[in-house]
Amino acid sequence: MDWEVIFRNAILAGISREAAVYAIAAVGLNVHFGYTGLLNFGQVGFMSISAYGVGISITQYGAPVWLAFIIGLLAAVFLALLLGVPTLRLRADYLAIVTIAASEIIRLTFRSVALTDWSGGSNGINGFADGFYVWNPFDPSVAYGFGSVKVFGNQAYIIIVGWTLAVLVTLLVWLLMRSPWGRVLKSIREDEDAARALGKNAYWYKMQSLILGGVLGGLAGIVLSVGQSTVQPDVYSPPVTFFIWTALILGGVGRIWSPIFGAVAFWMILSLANNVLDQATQAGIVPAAVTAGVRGGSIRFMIVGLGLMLLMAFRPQGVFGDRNEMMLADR
Amino acid sequence: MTTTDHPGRIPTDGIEAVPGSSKPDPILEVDTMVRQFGGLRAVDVEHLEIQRHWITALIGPNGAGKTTFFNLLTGFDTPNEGAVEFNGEAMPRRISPNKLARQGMVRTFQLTKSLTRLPVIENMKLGVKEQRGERFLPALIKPLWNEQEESIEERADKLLVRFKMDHMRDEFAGTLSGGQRKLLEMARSLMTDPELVMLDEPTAGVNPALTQSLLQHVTGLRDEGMTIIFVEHDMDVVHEIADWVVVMAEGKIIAEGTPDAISKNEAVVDAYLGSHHDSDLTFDDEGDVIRGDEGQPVHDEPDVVHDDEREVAHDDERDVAHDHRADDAHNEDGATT
Amino acid sequence: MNTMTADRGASKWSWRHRLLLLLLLTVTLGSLQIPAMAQDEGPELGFQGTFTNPEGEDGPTPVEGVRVEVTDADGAVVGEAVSDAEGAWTVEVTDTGEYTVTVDVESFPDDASLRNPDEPSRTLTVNPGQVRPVLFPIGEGPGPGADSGFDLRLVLQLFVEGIKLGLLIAMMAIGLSLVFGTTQLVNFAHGELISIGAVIAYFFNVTIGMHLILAAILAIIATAGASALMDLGIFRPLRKRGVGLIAQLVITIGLSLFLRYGLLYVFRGDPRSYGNYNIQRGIEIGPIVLPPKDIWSVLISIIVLVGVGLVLQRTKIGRAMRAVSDNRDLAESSGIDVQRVILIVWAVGGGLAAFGGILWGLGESVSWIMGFRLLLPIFAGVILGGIGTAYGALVGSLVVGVFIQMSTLVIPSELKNAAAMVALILILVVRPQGILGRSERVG
Repeated sequence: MDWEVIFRNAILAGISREAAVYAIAAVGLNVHFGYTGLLNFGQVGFMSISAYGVGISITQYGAPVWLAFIIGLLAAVFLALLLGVPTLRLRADYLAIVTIAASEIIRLTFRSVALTDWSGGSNGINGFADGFYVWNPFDPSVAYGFGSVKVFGNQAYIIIVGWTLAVLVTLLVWLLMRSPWGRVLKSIREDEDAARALGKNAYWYKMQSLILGGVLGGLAGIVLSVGQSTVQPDVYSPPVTFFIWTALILGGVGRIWSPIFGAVAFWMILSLANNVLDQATQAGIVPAAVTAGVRGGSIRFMIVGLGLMLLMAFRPQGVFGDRNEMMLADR
Repeated sequence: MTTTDHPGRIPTDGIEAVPGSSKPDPILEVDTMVRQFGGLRAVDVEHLEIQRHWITALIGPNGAGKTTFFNLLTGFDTPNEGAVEFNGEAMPRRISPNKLARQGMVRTFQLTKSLTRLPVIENMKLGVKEQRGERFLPALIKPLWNEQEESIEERADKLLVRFKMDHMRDEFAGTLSGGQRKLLEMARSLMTDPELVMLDEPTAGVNPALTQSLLQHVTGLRDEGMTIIFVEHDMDVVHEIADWVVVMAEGKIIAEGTPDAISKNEAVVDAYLGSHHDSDLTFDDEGDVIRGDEGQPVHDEPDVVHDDEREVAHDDERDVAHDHRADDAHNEDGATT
Repeated sequence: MNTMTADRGASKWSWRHRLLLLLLLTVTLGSLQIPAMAQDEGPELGFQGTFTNPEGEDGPTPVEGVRVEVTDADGAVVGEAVSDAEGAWTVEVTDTGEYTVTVDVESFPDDASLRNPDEPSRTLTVNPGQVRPVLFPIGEGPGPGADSGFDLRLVLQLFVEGIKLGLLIAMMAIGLSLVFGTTQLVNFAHGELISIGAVIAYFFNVTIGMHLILAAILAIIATAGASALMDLGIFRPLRKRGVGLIAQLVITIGLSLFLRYGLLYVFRGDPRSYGNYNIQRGIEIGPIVLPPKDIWSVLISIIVLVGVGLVLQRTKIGRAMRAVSDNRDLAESSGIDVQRVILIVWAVGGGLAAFGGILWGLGESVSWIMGFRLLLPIFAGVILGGIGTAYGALVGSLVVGVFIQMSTLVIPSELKNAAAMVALILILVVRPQGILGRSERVG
């Protein structure tokens, strides 16, 4: 077992663009669930609709990069309105069901044969991200980093952009949550009827929250698609939402920095598990059949599922949360 | 009872003690309000006027429709028909609670709705209407709302002192006892500068010592010029603070009058005796109903909707009961379940 | 999401094939990367595509040797390609712009043809940095009568298939509604009970070699047991500890993920069929054609649904279930063992989910993801009918089933489930309480 490789990969995973993407999306989910109590089980739908918004507006309509980004984020606003209008007056479970359904609809629609000319079917859209790499200060052929932890120029660029955005949106949410606006959101999380009895338009605040968190999800999707230089429908499949949920809960729901901690921790743990399993298989400690083919991949989903259950049951406050505060939540 | 009467408070003499009697200066007027659940008329009020600056008690046996009526008045439920005038202004049949609250009608809940994971002081500050920092963009820039926030905090602190809760200022509201939560909810509702305060069983489950201070606060509010309606089971409490009593049974208003007159009213006595054996209002006994320890209901505290449900369930109308359940679930924990 | 029901067209296999390939890619790509982000080392500008015959002898098969020609706007041939053993082809072009891609219809092998032979070419634009995917559906040509626009026979056929699907959805939805009714918990792992039932039946039927009927009975019992174990091992302790409903809901999501990929681990990705009743000749009933297994499926679902209705109405345990749903505290105080009732609800719901899963697997195929795919239509049916109304769930499920099938008249079959979801959202706007729900539940 090569522990150096295992740990190097874990560190790379922790700082990877995927971790940054998850952090941004988890900030959005934190606005939804952590501060407002909204159950969004379709965050990946927001990611995908924005990524496609960017991809399609560049490849189909030749939009400049900045405009494409705005269109992408507006697509997330649109989705939030579409999902919020019918459901935010109803019990929270309705939003949960409708969001998970919507994320699947979006995936199926974008990958559909009927729309191939527009959204590229199951192959998705390629080659729209060039305009973004124009500003890349790094040399794509040079590896940057410390010691053996190195990434190539384009990666370094997207990692820096991704994490900068993650920190910026975290600060944005921090500004909002210390304000009376954030107080209304939290009051809705605790008891919507109490907020309404005090004259707060809970519906409208929930809508604002859904839009804000959705736009952050959209931003995450854009970063991911630009980083991959492609947007493919099946990258944005339902389990991604639950990965992000796990990252958020790992960090601690309803806390400012937890999405970032959670995303880093999530990817490091996943990488450790994967690499240890790989190495163990290679070293013959684990029989090859255990991880052969589709099995190796499914193990990681199982780990996430199990982790999500155990976290929620035994440490719902996450690694950094306050157990006492969590215990007060009487629902 | 009180020494510093508000000048607008008129005596009860000369007001006719009949259901739907007219009052000289009503803050709230209700006309033909009907709420049906399936085949059951949970609320069927022909006419009711609530006199300004009075404390009006709303009493009645279990299942009389008191809480449903409260919900209808405060916009938490929509009547099948009926009109409400508040301060002489007609309210639309379908109106959201927040709109009514902004017009000066604030309510508390039978099952207290304290915001458990917010500190007491934040609970209080939430009550203030029209805060600049509650809008999305200004919220980002602290100087725009900081000054207002400080004055709100000052006011909240004063109220907390008055309610003797200043020592709990920074505790999470979830750590308070049931009685303290009732107090907090009342104090918080005052932060909205209400004209009409509607309290749903303010003393249910509150220990006797705290009940006394709570009642003093209620009369204090009246003396400051507010109008109060409260749902109550305990006749002693009604006698102690109410100026006027409205009695409901089976959704209808069956009597109105002063506390003294009401306790001698035969229709009222009949209504109570004729209702379920588990009626918890008695005229001879203490009549206190303490639910759970220190006001913490052990289970779902049976509220009026539940009671309706029992009646209906007895009648084997399962479908109706089912809907109540759903309705109930929505009202109580629906927002987040 | 085409797995819903008997597809009439050819797309049934093609999407599944593609999905599976992607999923395989997804999960085997392994380590650190978000699924399927491997990038082609191919050309920078051009066209690419894959010819797959969804109706090949052994499921979807690549079509080799098909010639593709690309001409520019002036009609000059700029490139051509022949599909390889995987059915894939690529044509590189040197510049962006508009091109016409034409398939040589003559070059198809005997067992495959363009689904629409009248449209062998596409005119498409290549954008900067783009390798444009081009899709030519392959399969039988349009059948007789397809030109007539409105085909009454097809409408009837789809309607009946929709009823069949709706009845299955209703049967599988019972567990979800009952668990929700008694505990207020929305169980996102319910779909996995469906898959587990179908997979266990497959194990007994194909791996061990029992007759399907026996295998089904054992699978239903086993799934009911597994479902009861979920309550006993996970949710009852959570209730006891006072864990909130939302936390429990997130736990059902984790459980669903764990079970689903656990199934992928043991069952692998490819859809499989049971060993009995596999190939049946359709029986003509008036204008429609149904294989006997579909007729049985309809009959069995009706019997099960009526049976459940009778149990709920007439038996002691049924009354107890309704009492717990109506008012848990009241039920408890009147001497009903609420925890036991909830346990039975889980077991019965799991058994019915398994039953539905087996019937569905019989009509379609058994796969690890089938339950998750079915979960959304089930939710749609339950919500459409109005949560908490027993007959509403039945009506809602039937509406969803018929809607899903009939929608293929106007939209591509691959989008029919998406259409059902869109309809669900629309109905929530207009009538949030569902078709049969009463208005007062919405605040």
